[in-house]
Amino acid sequence: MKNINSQFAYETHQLMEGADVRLSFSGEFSPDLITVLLSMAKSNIGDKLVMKKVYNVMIECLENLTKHSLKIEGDQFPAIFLLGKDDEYYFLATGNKIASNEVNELETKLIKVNSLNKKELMLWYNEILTSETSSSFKGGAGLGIIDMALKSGNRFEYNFNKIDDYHSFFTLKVKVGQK
Amino acid sequence: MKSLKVKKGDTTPELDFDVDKMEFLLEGESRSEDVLIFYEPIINWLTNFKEWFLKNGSSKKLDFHFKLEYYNSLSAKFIFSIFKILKEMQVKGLEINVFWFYDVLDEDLLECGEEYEKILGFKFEYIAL
Repeated sequence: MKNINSQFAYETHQLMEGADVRLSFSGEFSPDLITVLLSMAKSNIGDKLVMKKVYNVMIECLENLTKHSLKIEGDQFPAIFLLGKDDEYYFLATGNKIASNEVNELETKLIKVNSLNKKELMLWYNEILTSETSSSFKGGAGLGIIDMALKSGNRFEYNFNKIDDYHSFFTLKVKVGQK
Repeated sequence: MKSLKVKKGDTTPELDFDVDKMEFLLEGESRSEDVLIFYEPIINWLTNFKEWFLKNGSSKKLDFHFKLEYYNSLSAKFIFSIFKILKEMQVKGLEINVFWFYDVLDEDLLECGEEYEKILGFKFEYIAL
């Protein structure tokens, strides 16, 4: 039987404080919650330039969580979002469960994004932007991840943690900072 | 042809396409996850507007005020479609002035405008706020 003692709050607090986490949520992400998280992030970041960039990347991050988190019935914790601060950067960290058979495709895309410079990313973005008509367009077609890389200006850090044969936990850290 | 007006929503922008004044406005934030529901009627309206204008329009000039502070990547394609239709009208002889508003600190948004310009062969006017 699970029995969480009262120290749990202390330990979690220490962990968050140590990593300078300004904003976090773990659970299911609804549109209303996203609106609240965005406005909290806005008021937390004083520097307007950085705030704009964080805001941009954050929206794409949160959209990815709602769109791509694996929905398992009864699962209360499909995803996590953190906004924190490293020495030089604000960082956005997300984690979500995905099906193991999606790992390869996602990883290939992340490797490609990380290998491109700004000009190449923009070319790729424009290629997708102009490729099909809006009426046949359903998903983001990968624009979101390129957009995040452009706004961030930094390489993505990511990891895939195997949960079992069928499920993995995907983590992504996106850094945003002043140049 | 009736003008098109859409009120601002939590995640969708305000839209005012005024046919009488030939002044179009798109303002606010566009970060809805149901972009298709929001933009499809707008694209359809614009397509009809283009047809109508080519047959019956008497104006020579259209001003488009682009005042989106933020749009997500899902919206980007639809915004591209909007400009594409406007470009088609410009090719047919309508003078179109696109005023692209951006926060003076927000160079990313300025760059987005420049990219649309480049891809579509449009000329935008930039207004820093």
